[in-house]
Amino acid sequence: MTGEAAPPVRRRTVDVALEARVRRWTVDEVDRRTSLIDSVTVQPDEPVDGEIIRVGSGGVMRVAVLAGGSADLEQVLRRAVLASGADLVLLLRVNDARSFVERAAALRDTRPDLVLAMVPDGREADGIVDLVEALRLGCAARTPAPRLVVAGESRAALRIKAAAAGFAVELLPDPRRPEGLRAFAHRAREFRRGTDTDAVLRDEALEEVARLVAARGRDTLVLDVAGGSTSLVRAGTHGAVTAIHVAPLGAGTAADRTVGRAGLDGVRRWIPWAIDAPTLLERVFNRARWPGAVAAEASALALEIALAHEATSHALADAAGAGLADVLRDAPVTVVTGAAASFSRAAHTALVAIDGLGSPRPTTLYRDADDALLALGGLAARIRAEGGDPQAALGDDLEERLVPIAFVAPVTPGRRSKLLVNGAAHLADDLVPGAFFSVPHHGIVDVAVTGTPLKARGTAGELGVIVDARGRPLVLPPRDAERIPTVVRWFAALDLPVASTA
Amino acid sequence: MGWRYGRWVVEHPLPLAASSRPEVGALVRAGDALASGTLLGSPVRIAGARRLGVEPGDLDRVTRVRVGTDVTRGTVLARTGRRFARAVTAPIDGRFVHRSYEGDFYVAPVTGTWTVRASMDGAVIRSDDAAVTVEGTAWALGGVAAYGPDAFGELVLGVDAPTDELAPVRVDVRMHDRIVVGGARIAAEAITRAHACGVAGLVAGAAPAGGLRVVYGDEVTASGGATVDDRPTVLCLLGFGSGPLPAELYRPFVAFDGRRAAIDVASARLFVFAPEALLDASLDAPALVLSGDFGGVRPLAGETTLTGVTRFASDAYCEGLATQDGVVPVPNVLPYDAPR
Repeated sequence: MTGEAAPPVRRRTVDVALEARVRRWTVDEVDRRTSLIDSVTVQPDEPVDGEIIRVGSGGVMRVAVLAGGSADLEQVLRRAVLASGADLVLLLRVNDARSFVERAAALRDTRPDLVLAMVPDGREADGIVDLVEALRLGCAARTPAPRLVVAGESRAALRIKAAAAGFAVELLPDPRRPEGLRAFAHRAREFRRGTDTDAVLRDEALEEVARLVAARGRDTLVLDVAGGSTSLVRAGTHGAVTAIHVAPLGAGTAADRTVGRAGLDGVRRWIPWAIDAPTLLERVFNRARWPGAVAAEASALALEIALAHEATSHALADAAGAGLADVLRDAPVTVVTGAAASFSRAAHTALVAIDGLGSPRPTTLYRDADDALLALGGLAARIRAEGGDPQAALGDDLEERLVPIAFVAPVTPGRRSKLLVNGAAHLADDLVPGAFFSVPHHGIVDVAVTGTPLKARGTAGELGVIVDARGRPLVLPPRDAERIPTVVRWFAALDLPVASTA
Repeated sequence: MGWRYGRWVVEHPLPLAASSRPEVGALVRAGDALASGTLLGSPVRIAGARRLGVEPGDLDRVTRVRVGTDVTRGTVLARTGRRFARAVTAPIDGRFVHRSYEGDFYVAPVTGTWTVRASMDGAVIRSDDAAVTVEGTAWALGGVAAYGPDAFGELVLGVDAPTDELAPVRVDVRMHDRIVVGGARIAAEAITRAHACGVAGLVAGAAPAGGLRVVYGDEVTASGGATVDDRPTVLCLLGFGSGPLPAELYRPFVAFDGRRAAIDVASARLFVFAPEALLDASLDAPALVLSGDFGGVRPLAGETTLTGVTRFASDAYCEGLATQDGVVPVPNVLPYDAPR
């Protein structure tokens, strides 16, 4: 009797960092096929045997930008900073109204880790040299001094490098070109990785997730709202990625920063009951200083959902500032990960994605469960770094983990428009402007609305087909008397109970 | 952990244009002026190397005044020593603040002065134009966030019990230059009254976030932040809203009443300069519990038992801990000194 030996199993661990703890996935690899087995939530210092892949946010990188006065540069600079996941603490232009001393003081006070000097052409070199002099006055005595990255026209860049005596200076390609953008993002990630050179950054894992899902044949948008960062990543079917990673902006430890950007009323408007501003602010501040806190009461959950809404829409606003809003909003497949995917009900995740992105295009909505997709993204990054093919290794497991929750169909209906689901008219709900309802359905579905251009195919899940005729941009009444019933109606449309009264 | 006696290193970042600062090894006392400097107006740029006809690299040879020196109008900044001498002079009274790589001089008018005070008794271990670092020994208690400038003064109790809120009527001018301990909460009224009465700083379990916005502006965040301008100093020990102090934290305040203390805002820490023997160092602070609606923080008290995976009112499933106030999610219970 002859027997064939079972192929060896390579066991690995993937740790996906949460705010205070880690989600630890056990991974088996057999015949170059990798699959996630199970996961537990543990303390980060909990020992583990064997090979481990860590997916984390990395360190914070504070960036100051010195740039010419041209308005065209604004988008390029924003793209570079957003792609790198850095925290932009100061943007100084050559036409800045502040005096030399004030510029130097601003650079000292903001304590940048890295300074990007962008010199698009030689004519602006004088102005940038002045800004570099302000940097010398403000930061030369600091320990450690910030690193200076100079990009742009080569001769002017060399002049700036010479002027930055006493600083470590690197020359990078012009970020207006794709390779320059990639080089800056790569450099920033190296910085954020610090001494943990083996770590996979959350940004990289998200980009790999987007690539893996897009490789199934449709452009994919990954929306990640974590405690301290928010990312929007779009991947094309051929692997091209456009991404922004905004930090600090999120629904947890960056809650106070999200409120700082959105304003208290911006966050409060998504909460389906009345709540006074001081109470809300107290909760936001306590949440921000409590990494890994669990929303035990409905009011805390509502706050986290509201923060996720605003984090998404402000990340999108940043994308708009970089000229990327449309690319990062409209994809036929949307995958939600992070804290926004961890709400107890899928409908909460759907509301964050639909309202936060405000996309006018239909999309199939997926959500990550237990950070499995992020773990796959971390594995994919490692496999790619080792020269392997992530799609071949992880494709089967991805297929298993990727479960749609809804097909979302935004529409602007006419007076006689009818909703057709798989060719059959749906008459149970009124399709009128302002309507928001879901049609129970599972699996592939064709949705059309007569009298409108909407004719789309997607995959519905537990929330069925969500028809959204509220219009874009989504407008909420400012007064509580009108706002609360509106938000309650939207919650109810997805069978979400509204139990708490603050 | 809570109160701890030990060696602490405190960094004091300096604004631009320091004119005096201590040497490394110098002994300083909390509250003493550590460094001083000038506030500068808009500087005048003067062509240096070009006007003198020298290479920027050779400018050192002909420069007569060091960067950082106060100058009067007409002061010769640099001069070539040839027969037909060329000189660069200060066009205004002020301070020679900077010399550029390409050989230009910047002279700025002096518009005021600043002083940075030490927030630790000890020895200077680093001193440069960016920061002065002091290492010393003291009792210390870390908080969650602090606001305003560093504060120094004698500790004084402003409440009768650790669960009390500091009432504005308890604050008066007799507390001038003191650090007042405010119990579970200090509202905006008490903060502003304390500032008006010349109180050096306030310490309490919590302060209302809305009140902090009223006092420090809408940009205030949960991380706190140091300011150099004339504002009240507030140290929140547990969180925001209300934070009744556990006895293990409050009792030492009673023992430290009248002792010199300092609030280091950057590290959100209170230092008390008192002998080590004054307090029993084994007083561990209890764990803290974040309320289910995130509205406040309280010390964990009484018997506790794990309840396993529990469903909470928000529909969240999580390991629970039964306390005398009900079941709370385990992640919402943290040791006092846990990184937050």
